[in-house]
Amino acid sequence: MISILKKLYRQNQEKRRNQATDAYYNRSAPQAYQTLIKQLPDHALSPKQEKEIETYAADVLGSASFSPWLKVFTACRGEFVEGWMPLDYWARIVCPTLNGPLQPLGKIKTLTQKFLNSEALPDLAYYVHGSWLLASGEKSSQEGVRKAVFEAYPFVFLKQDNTSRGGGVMKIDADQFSKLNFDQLGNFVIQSPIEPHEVFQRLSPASVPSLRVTTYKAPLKEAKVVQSGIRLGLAGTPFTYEDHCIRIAIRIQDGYTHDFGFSGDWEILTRHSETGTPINSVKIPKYHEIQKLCEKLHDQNPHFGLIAWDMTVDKNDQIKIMEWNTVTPAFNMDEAAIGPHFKGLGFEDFWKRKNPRR
Amino acid sequence: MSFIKSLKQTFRASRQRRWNRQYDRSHITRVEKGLQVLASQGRPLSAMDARKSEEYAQEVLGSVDFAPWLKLYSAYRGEFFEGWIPDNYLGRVICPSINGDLRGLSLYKTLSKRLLRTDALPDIAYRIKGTWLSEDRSGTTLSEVKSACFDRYPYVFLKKNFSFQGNGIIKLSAEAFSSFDFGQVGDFVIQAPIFQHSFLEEISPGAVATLRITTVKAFQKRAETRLCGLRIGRKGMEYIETKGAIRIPVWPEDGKLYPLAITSDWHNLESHPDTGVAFEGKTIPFFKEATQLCESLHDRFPHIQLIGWDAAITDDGTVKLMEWNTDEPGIVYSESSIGPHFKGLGWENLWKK
Repeated sequence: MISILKKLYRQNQEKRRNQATDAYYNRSAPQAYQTLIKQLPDHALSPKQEKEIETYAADVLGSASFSPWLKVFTACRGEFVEGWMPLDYWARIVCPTLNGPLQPLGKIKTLTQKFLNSEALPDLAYYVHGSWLLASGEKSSQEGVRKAVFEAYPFVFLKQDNTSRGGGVMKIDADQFSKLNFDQLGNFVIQSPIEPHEVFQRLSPASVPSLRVTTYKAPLKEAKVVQSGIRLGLAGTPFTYEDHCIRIAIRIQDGYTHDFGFSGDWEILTRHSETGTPINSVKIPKYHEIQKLCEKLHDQNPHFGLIAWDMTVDKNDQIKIMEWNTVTPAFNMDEAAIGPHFKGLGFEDFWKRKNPRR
Repeated sequence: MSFIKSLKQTFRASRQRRWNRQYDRSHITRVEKGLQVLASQGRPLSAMDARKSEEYAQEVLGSVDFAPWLKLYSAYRGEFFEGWIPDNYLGRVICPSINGDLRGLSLYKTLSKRLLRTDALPDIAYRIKGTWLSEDRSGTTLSEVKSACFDRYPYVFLKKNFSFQGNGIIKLSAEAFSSFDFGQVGDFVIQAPIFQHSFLEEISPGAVATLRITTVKAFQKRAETRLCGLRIGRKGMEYIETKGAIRIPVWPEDGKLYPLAITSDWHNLESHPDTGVAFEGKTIPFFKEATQLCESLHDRFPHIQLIGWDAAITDDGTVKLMEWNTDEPGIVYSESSIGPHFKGLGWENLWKK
């Protein structure tokens, strides 16, 4: 009797946890759908199409609850395409399966360089548990770091551990640095500023754009780029922050931006909303080299099945890694525009595993 | 508070108590056996020390659940000392609190060198999710790994991820390597053998003696060595396994050996049972170099406050690291015989958080 009760309690707990995860990752899907069909009224889904998508989600992905983003993608493209990856399935099933217990490590920014050991990462110093360290690993002090950092740069970026999507990032100068209460900030990395390549400067004058490159490493195989897109900055933020940006998908075959991108609230754009600069069909500089670097770094870190890299190129043609993501790297707009990106990789069967989180 | 909320709270509190009881169970068994052995050696726990242990556990550490190890320490030492850390308090209160979510990181043996960046780790190659990587993380093949191993060494050690206390270690000769089914063992590192200092070879013939150096890096402080112990093997052992090993507590100030070794079931030994070598008056060579290496590596990894390092010392004084432990580094033999080692760190208050 007790064991039946326990089982029921656990099943109910799991169900509620799944519902909460779906609700979180699907929270902006209804608004995205409405915005899209306002612009593309012919793409409004018929009840029959909605039913078909729900049936597909239930049959292929294991639950109709994975249908909201599939409906958004369909509204974008005007037809349903098999193989699309809904964000809640990605977050709840795929990423935990591919990256396992090490999945959260990408959020520990102060550990990134230990994993990557790459000069392309612009780390200058770390503050961890009350200790100051230079990027070389040498012990330092607040004054030592201040000197080392601000003698070389007029301002730097401070990135806190356990943050993502631009949250926990600060642009600071020497004066602001001196006034910070470091004990309240928790652990963080200090990164040098990047002067972007002129293509990026033209595309995104407000802040350094973030080029997303997602690599997948199947067991026994070499890592491969499977998805790519770029986030362009908007006035008012010195770095790309959450949805306050423009996103445009990149074709991984040739490194060109797609025919259109989106504002943060799914308005379809072919030009930058602030500058009017065309954002479509732009050749990303050093794209092939960026792909190779991401794949090489992923091959050196095979503990992770999936890594999303935030990259850029500076004005001297040097490739830079802004950060890596191992938790739940999102790609909704790129998936809607040119997906499916993950077809044929078997991700749609992960839900059938006994414990997909492992 | 609604009825449902109160019910949930009661359930969670009950679940926590159940987990605590489960966690403590193996500790209680080990303590009971240890107390029996000590009593049979004429070192019973006195009623006064039993009472002191219980009162101290309740008042200072928040629960009488933490009394068993204090009782064993008292019986071993012949008196109770304030400031001792019970092993189950270390495991279920201290480590989760100060090492946090990263405390399981050292179980990934294939990540140790990546994270610590030291040549002191004798890693030769890794196999991770079916991919072979050389020590510098470039892709390699089975035949290249074989050459890297056996062109230089007569044998190597394969260490699986999540192995601990000597479990999950396999000694491989070239012949055994060739016929080994690597697909069966999950992710692992292959390490070069370590040829230990003659002083240690005399004390621990065959198996490389492990010098456990436990360092603590408190907030805004430099890492410091707090506890040390030497684990030595018996004749016929190829590597140190916790179960069959003998521990000699070591004074962290100078590397001097405690005059007695302690077996895993709490018998005292004045000399090595196989070789007859006595322990009294001996000091570990290159001890300072070993503690300095561990402290400096800990200073470079401040994310974790408590680390147990397993070091070995070679004849020329080079310090080698076999692994690091961040989950629950064991303390009981040194803590009971020459502790308390962790006074002044405020760890007795962590249960209140």
